Amino acid sequence: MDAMNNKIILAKSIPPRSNDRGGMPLLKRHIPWHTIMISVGIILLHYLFMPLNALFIYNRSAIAQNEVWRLLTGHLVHYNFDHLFWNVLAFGIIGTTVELKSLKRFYRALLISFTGVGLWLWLGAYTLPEYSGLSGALNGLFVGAIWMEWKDTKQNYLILILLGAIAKIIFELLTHQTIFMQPSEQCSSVPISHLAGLMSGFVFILFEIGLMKLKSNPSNI
Amino acid sequence: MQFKLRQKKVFMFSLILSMLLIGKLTTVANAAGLLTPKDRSLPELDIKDHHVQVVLEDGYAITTVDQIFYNPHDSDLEAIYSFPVPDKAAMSEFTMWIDGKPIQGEVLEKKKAREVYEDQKKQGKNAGLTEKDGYKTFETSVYPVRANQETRIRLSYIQPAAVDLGMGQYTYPLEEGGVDDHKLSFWTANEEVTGTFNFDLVIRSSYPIDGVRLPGHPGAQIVQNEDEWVIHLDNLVDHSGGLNGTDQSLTINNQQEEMEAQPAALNSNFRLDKDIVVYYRLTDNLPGSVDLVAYKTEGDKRGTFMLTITPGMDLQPIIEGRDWVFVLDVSGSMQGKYFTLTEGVSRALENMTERDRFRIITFNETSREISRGFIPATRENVQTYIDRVRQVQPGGGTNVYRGLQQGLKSLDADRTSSIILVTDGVANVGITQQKKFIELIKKKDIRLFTFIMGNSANKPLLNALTRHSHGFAINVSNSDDIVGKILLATNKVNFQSLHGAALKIKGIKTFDLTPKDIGSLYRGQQLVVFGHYYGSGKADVSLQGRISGKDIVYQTQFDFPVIADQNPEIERLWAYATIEDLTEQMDDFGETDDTKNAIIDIGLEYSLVTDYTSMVVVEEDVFKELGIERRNQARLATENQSRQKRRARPVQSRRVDTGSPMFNHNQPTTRSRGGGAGAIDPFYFLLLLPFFRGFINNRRKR
Repeated sequence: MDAMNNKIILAKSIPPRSNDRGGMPLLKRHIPWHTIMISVGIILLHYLFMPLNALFIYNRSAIAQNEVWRLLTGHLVHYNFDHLFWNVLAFGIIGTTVELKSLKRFYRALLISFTGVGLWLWLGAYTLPEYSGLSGALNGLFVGAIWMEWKDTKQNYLILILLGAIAKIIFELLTHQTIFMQPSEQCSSVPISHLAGLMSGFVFILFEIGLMKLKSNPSNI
Repeated sequence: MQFKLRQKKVFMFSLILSMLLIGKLTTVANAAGLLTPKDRSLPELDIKDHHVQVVLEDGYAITTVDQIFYNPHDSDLEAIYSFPVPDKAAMSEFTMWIDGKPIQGEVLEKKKAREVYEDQKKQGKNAGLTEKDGYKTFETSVYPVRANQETRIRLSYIQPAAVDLGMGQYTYPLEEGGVDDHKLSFWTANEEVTGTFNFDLVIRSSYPIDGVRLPGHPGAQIVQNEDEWVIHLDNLVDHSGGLNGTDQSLTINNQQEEMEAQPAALNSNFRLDKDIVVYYRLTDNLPGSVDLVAYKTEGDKRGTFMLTITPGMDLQPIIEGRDWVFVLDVSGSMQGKYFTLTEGVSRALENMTERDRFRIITFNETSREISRGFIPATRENVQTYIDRVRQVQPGGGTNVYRGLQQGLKSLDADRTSSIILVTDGVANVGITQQKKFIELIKKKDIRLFTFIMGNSANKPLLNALTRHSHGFAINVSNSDDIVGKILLATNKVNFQSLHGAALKIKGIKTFDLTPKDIGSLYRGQQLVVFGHYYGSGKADVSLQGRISGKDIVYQTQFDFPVIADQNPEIERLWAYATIEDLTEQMDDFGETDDTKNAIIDIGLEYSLVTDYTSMVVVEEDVFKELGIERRNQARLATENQSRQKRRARPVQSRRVDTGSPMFNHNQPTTRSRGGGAGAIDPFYFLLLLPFFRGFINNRRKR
């Protein structure tokens, strides 16, 4: 009976999502400042702080020599304009959806995706000497974004989009090819990073569900 | 029965003994130096001074070696100086100082030149002779080195300086491989320079260079001036100023260098026993390009040209799993290099994907498969077999044929297979005829990639094998970054290549092009073509070939000049490249009078030391007496004059396709070596856009 009461009380006490940032000024509610800042940072890194790229890129032999920050910073470095443009564009879209829903979740999703992809490449792709780019981590953020939107709206098309993303990654893994893009002279696509991103996205969902459960049941804290 | 057992024991003992002896013989490493017969009946001479000057500009290097020999004994002696044949080197000058005056040599047919030298020697007159001993060594004989006196000589050679994956390399070869048993049993070499040793290299490149490095000589002084890099090495002073050989931390494939560091020699004798290897790296993001260096003086109808094509092709990484067969030389001469070899092989194996498979075969007198069939290149398998390779002890002779034969067995017809052959030697056991090797390699559809270690390996044989299998050969000095070189090569073969490459030039009459057959162009490889042309003006130039079965044409348009008088050396480079083509023909199909005479004619016309021509120096009046035309003297005067003019002017760009670029892509470098990247493609946006639209709509509703 106590448990039932608790549920009722808690259900009442959780504010609706739309009120999450109800108290924020209009600009803050509708403009994804953090996504913009990170995107600008990535672009500046590419064009103005080129020498840092060599320090940031995921490089297996350098990581083996204790330069572990590369596991995370490698996602911020891009090989060329095309690589940068498409990744930042996609980040702009996905980042906006997540950030405008919850800034904390935005950063948690990014952290989990960056770490997950970096560690996966380190532990599972030992033949890959170098890696760079946002897209692996973007898959994680995307899964997180779909889940957050679904949680709010329960619309079925979101499940179809998630299945589409999974199918795309399976295709890449089986054929070692991307659907449209061909590997370039400078770099080739690494489908395993997309799988790693996808899995990181699910880890993020589990983490958030766990966090919610913990919050919803203070006796577990 | 007992007799049989004893016979068997005796046989085994003899076998082991002979293997040990062969192993012992082949482990001796020789160096460039003054040769003295082993019986020690004649006293040794000294190399007093050894000064090397190299200028690398306009796509070729000119090396000048100035030496002084000293005879500390009371009788006149003959000096024989031997040094390894540098890669593609056209020996153009042999000058000897007679009575304080420099006398330049002239090229004669080999037999005639030897007769002239011996005749002068018999008469007690001054004479010198430079001969080529096949692919192995140049040998310079000088007579007399007077009792308690010095004799000075100067040698010069020209060689093309190609860049591969944005990395250029110059090697001053000094170390012989110790694979010539006959020579080893007769000569000892005094490779010590008792006086001064200098090595000066100037690199003048119109393409920006961002680093220079001498892995084996960290004491070298490296200075970057406005448009040139100057590298200096000697045995005299401590270089406290400028950069040193390691400060410019330039490594192939960005791998950390593990070469053994040698402290700079201070006021000590310098030994000519270790190659001087200089790497220079071009900056990233240079466009694919076409460079033309021509020579055509006023009034000449015919000009000579060197066309250097640095492709910027869109070669994509090969992602299908492939089979690799490593055929490794474990003969006695590999001792000392074997550890580095295993490191290189292990790095190559680690670079494979799990879709790849590998076999490992070792050979000396016989061959042995370490892997027992193809093994998937998983991390565990790679580690297991690397450990097994490391346990092998090198020793014995070199039966390359057996190694290759075993490597070609058990190939899977459904998978693409390649052989990586690593050897430093001469095929001296078993089948050794080139024809048989070529027949063997042609039996299977396989690409052969060869790493030729050291300066004395049978390069003609190994080059021919790779040519026939459409692979490539890489020369590796023992002072090289061997691990980096193996990684560089495996990086190349992991990308598509341009097969059946052909160069077409329309609008200008060109002829005598060499190489006649280009074959395949791999990632980062430059194509250097020499030839003659008539007239001048606009030419349409195209490079054609197939990439993954798809025909592809790269085109450009540029002018062949009316007059170009800055690079007379181009003529000798064309001549040497043509001689190389003819020699390859002879190696493949046997020696014929026609090809032999063609080589002699070109050697005489362009004053080059070849297998059939030598350079002789006699006293000035003897040239007249013998009716020897001073053709080389005239050519050298022109070349020296041009060299001085070039040095006085700023570096000039030789790029000719700026107005109409032949390639849309940049030339690849060691740093763009197939790193991975996440690709966001249009399909991704097909998923993103409905999601984003839904998100916006939902926000509006809320």
